[in-house]
Amino acid sequence: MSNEPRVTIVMRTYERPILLARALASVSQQSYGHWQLVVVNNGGDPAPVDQAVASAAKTVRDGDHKMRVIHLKDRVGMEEASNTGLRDAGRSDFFVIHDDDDSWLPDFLSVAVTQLDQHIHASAVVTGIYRITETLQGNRLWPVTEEEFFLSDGRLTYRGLLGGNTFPPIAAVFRSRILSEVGYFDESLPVLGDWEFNLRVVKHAPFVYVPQRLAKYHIRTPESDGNSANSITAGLSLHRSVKQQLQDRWLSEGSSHSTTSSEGEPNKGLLSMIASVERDLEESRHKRGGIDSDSAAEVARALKSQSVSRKIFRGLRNPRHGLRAVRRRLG
Amino acid sequence: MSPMPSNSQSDIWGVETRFQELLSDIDVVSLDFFDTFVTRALSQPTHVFADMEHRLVQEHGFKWKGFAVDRVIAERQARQKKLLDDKNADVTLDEIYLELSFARRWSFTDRQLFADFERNIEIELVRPVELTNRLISLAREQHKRIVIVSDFYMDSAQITKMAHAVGHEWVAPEQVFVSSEHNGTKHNGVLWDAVLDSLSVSPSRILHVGDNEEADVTQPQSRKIKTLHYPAMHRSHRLPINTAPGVLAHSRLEATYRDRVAYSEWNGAAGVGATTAALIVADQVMRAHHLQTQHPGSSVHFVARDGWLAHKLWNDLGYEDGHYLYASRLVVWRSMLTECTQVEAKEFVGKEEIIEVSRLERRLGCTLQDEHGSSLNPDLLLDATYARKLIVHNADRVVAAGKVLRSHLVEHLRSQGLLKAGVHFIVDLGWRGKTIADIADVVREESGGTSRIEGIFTGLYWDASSQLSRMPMHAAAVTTLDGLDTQLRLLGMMRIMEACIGATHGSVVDFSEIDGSVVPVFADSPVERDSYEKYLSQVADEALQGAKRILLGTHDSGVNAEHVTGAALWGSMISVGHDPHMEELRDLGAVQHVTTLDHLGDGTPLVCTELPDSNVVTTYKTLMRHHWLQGSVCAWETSRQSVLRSTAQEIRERWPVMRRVWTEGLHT
Repeated sequence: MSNEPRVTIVMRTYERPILLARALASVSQQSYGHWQLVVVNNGGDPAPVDQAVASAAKTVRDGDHKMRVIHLKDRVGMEEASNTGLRDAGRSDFFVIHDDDDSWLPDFLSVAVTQLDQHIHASAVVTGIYRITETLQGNRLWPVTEEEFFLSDGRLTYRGLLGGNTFPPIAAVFRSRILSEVGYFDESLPVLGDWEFNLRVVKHAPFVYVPQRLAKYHIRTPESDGNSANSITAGLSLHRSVKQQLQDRWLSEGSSHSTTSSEGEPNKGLLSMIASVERDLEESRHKRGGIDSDSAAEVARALKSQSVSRKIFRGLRNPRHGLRAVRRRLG
Repeated sequence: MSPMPSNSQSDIWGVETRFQELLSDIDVVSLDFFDTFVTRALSQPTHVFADMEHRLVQEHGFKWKGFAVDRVIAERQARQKKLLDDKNADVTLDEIYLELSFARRWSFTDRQLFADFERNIEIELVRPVELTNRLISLAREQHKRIVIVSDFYMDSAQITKMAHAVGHEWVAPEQVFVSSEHNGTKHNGVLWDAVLDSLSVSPSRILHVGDNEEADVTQPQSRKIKTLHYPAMHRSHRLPINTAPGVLAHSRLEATYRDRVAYSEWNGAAGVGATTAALIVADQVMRAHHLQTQHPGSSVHFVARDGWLAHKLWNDLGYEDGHYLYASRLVVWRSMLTECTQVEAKEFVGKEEIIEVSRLERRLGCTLQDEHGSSLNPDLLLDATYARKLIVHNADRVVAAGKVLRSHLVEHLRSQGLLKAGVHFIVDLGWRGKTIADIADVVREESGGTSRIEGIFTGLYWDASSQLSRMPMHAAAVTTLDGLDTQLRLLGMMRIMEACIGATHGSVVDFSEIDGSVVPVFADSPVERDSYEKYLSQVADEALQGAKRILLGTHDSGVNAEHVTGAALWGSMISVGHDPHMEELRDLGAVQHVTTLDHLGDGTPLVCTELPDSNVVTTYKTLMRHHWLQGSVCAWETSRQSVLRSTAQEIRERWPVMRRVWTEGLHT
């Protein structure tokens, strides 16, 4: 195998040196060695970023050649920062967006590359994820909870992703040629650019899911220092608003009165809204323990509640059926 | 390391002597199979599955991770189903693999293939038991009939093959009575009835040797069969489900130690020295040497006291440019003081502490004056509030003493060559890495940035994240990127690891000048000295011998440098720390560990013997901070005091991560 990097890692960062150091360590500890890292310093102080990257470079073989930093003078959107890194990186087989607050287990790249080599028609591989909640105050960072992030094959299909983004960027490695086929990240989106990108990609070619949990999605608690907050926890309303904007955009792509557009293609906007509702229902069921729980009693309870809500819904839609059902129940 | 015991050595159970006495009165010698007739090259039976998983992952990829746990669970499920079917019968290998095939969605052919894979690995791992070989020779000399009676899920043909593999080619399937073929076990007595029916010999003319109290002693005795109990090989067993492949290096080392002490008491301290401590020391030396080779001109510095053993081994192996660095948390922290406010004062004196003036002055490195500028009586006792107030009042003196200490520390660093331009490696257990990161800052400042320090650590936990940007850290077994469960497990057993990888001298608390050169001042802690002499010296001796053999590739277990990985270190540390033998609790639990800033005082035993608080949360925190948490909980579970037993149970329930099962969260 040549020494050319097969994976480009783009790491966006802004004024979070402690988190950046951890993210860099997670890259440098990868058991797979054929990668290059482009750190995009999105308008933050250059000195701590340079220092952290220099330190990390010493811990890996040929670190100076593998890691480089782009300092952006002014802060730009997350997606523009990603695109800058990707355009600067040059050619490689695969790419991954590694946010500066997330991390990987050491086998992440090794497993992902093996899978992409095996599934030549797949556009991306997504691994299982741990969700870590943590508090960052000053120089101290400590975990509060660690849980298994819910993900499944179904959630990585076009239909599964329509309802909302089902995984964070840290868990996915994409085939680079996909960029020339579906385009780069949409720079007009302040958040959820990864969701929009994922939908374009999965429509083009399927994702492969590896259940092994190799990625860690870190979320800061509200007690954490302001600058360290995740985009999703710090700006829930922004997420909601951008999601609605995207759904509006897709609705306007076709007729809003039917689930098919004028060209006969399914209307992405309407499907997305339906999928959002389904997704919320599924998540609430999952939170109740109805899916992952070992307990047969809990599964039975969840199924029963599902069946009751289905009956109520059917009864409301067709009152005659509802009344008949009540009569049957009463005897 | 001594070889197998010689023929003249007698076992502490008197098995051989009693066997000779009884032999003339019996016609049949019956032998239990596993842990009597033969043993394995691994410390416990379920590690066979870990070995299978390791090979499967190596050859066929990560999808085989978790195979070992699946195999253990499949056996449990097969046993449960069998119980419903026939409460006496034992499960068979085919039935276990049928369960496994459901979990792994195997075809019939796959199932056969994997069952054969397990059979072959068992044959590969089987080892003779020296004492049993001697018993067999005696019995054969006197033409006694020999049979094997075993509770096992494989069949008599497989047992025969395994017996042949260790040189007993005279064994034929007809001589083997195995539970999987007789609808009953030794445990429930059904197999013993089958043996008696088949042999047609008076029970009193049969002598059985085995390791299990119930199956090999109580049940046959109730049928008038003579018995001898030989539990030596059984002692290395731990919890069956802890089967992650990372544990294999530890398992092989422990099996070798088990074979060495087959005739004597199991020494918990020596056992830990021969396994976990040996692996840690081998890793420290191996990684330091590897990095030094990659960076020509670099030097290696083993920091007191965690690098003591590794430094000795480094010199023993003839490696060059390795130094022993006298530093400690107190010395480095005090030398970096630029101010002394309430924050620093809190670090010097604990919240509940009542301290003598003389001891406080020793911690601070200067004499104190009261509010009126008068000296204080050295014997005067101060409570924490007043002591802290006094420290702040004497801030200038404390900072000035810190500056003197810094000059001494810098001189020591210079004498070690740490200020020379280039890269230098510091070896430490390094649970947080803060002290080494502080030294790196001092070195950077004093050398004008020309000298760079990198840390070589065994483990780092979450709090160390803030250190990552200050210096490159090479952590092996645990890193800040590991999960919360892993980190908590490490924290709970940190005290025992620190105690085991120690030095003969006390902690460095200061420097002094003698004839113009700077020399370290050690804390003289009688309790630590006593613990070293009684227990820890055995850990150290075994660790040094074991680590040397591992690195030279001459260890009897076959474990060599290639096997010393992060996963192997973690597997070993957690085997001892999280799932200890009773012998380890007995021989290491009493070790007194001093955790005060100045390393003086009575210290605390690794295994806490009394309930620290009626509140379980406070108890948990106290155990975590001052003791070996998991060891204490294990000891409490078998305590006579019901309050300790119930508290241990509550801790396991409230903090599930503190349960003995750890396979799934294992660092890989």
